[in-house]
Amino acid sequence: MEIFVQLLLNGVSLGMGYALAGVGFVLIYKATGVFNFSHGQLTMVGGYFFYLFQVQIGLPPWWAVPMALVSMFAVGMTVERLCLRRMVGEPVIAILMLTIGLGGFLRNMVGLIWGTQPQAPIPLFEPGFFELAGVQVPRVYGWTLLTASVTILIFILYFQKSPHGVAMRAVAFDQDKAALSGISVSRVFALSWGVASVMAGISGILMMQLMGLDLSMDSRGLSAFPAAILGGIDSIGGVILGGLVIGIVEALTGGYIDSYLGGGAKEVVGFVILLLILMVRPYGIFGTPEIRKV
Amino acid sequence: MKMEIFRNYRVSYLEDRAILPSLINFWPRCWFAAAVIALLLLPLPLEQYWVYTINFGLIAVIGALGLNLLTGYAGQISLAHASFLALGAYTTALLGRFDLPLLVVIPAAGMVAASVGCLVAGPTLRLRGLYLALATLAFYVIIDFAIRKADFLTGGAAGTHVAPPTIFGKIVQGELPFYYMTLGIAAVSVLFVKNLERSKVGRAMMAVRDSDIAAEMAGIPIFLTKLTAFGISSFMAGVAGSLLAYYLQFINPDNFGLSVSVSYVAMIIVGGLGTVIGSVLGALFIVLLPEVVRVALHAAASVFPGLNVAASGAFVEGAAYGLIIILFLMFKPEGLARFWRDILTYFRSWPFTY
Repeated sequence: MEIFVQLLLNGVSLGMGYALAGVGFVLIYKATGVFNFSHGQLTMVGGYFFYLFQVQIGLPPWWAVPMALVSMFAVGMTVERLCLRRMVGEPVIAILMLTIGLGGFLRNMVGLIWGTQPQAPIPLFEPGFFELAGVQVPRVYGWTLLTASVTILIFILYFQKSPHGVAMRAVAFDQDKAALSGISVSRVFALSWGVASVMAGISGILMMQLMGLDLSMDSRGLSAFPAAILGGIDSIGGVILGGLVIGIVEALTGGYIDSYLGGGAKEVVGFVILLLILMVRPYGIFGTPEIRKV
Repeated sequence: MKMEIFRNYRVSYLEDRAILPSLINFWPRCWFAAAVIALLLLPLPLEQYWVYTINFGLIAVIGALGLNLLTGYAGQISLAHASFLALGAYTTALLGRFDLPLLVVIPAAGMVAASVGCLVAGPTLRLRGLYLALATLAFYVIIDFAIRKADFLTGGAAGTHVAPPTIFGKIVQGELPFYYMTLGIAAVSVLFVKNLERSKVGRAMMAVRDSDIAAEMAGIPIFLTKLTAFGISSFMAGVAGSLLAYYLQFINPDNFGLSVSVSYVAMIIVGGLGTVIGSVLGALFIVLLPEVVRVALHAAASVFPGLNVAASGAFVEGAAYGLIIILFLMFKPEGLARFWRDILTYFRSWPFTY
């Protein structure tokens, strides 16, 4: 039972991470129609920006975190302006490949600037443990979960209530009509990339609290795809649920099945679910059905 | 018949249906013959290392032709190409244990890859675009996992040794014999795809790519066409994987990582989607790119002694690679094939601009 609670908790925090990453995907996909394969790399860049401001420049955390996020916003806007804006209306494979190329570029630039040396976690939260259902839980987990939930909540409020959010939703709904009603579609595109990059930056900083920084961080972005598809690629609520489900399933698989197979099943189970979902209900649980029978 | 220097019209149906239609003229024929001779003589003056690299390029040409058939002609995105290469390679390693000759092993490797390719295609063919890409990505992850776990067949993560290829009882070894073997297979692949391009199957693929609804209305069996494309594409990937296994002599799952899939997609995009010459140029370009960057980096290091080539070389290569993909997609979406066509047009219509 204790192991189960432990695994569940691991799963929930992993799932929150996926949800946080997934919200970024979904935002970009909804507003601009681009599925961003470079989200994992953006997460990594966010973590390294924080490292730059906190350790290399030596700012206090309440400066380092906002600085890192502002830089991420700038990175996202720049990427959109320089690369993606030219690609509107191009075939899916071209856009997909562009984001893959972008991911490779970002990853190698990080390697070039910060080197291959792994960095230890930089604690932002107080160390120690608290007890939950008879299990000692590191405080970091609790704080990470809380921060992720609050971030997602703020994002949802922003997306639902603020003028920017309304403009984003309008563009997501119908680009032409949004443009006709006076919304600058290109600004919304840039803003979506900026906000999604900030979300990626937050998840990068949180991930760093748990595992430290190194160049393999970007591969975790890949594991967030099943979460995004499970919930429905254009549904914010769906992606949060999908993230939690995938996170818990992965943690349980890691706990109970990996020992028989000698490890590795944890990373695969998400993709097995992805495949099943794609065969049965490609638009996910809450996504908009896109019916085209040929 | 009067000898003509140049004509760009056809005088018979046979000429109209030719695989290489421009060869009706005298000079193109001469150039073509010169190119063939140059390809045959190319490795002789080169250093061994460059022949070694070019061999990888030729293997990539075969794989890229396969992927271009699937993505460029039939319009189906696949991120699982590396899996099919891996299947071909591991089949080769497995059959090599029984001392089978090359002429049996390579087709067998292709067939194994093709049958798995059709299996993969079955459930995923309802999907399109992004969803298809993600489904093939999922298949890639699962096949990679299976290869790592099936120790008794594949040697697991540690890898396995591959017996050297034998043909008519002789062992093919060394860069030079391998060059000619790979060149031969690549040439056959080029002719095969060129031929497919003008056949019923090839035209059906292009129709499905351009508009599946219109293709269905025209009576083209969509499912069968997509399945054929997947089958042929993975067959060619299997052949390329088999050659790769023979050439590397030792394979492990890291030889077939996701970056391999990505690099094949990069080849056909940089080369030009839906063109044979694009697959060839793109494959050679992507394989030779790291070498060129490395040479340039060493040249730069001799000018700026502060540059640490050992530490940053791999990252500069990677960044250049990513950047080139981005730049090609943004500014030259038709790829190197377009360059090639422009050059040919320039010479053909000289002294006029077009």
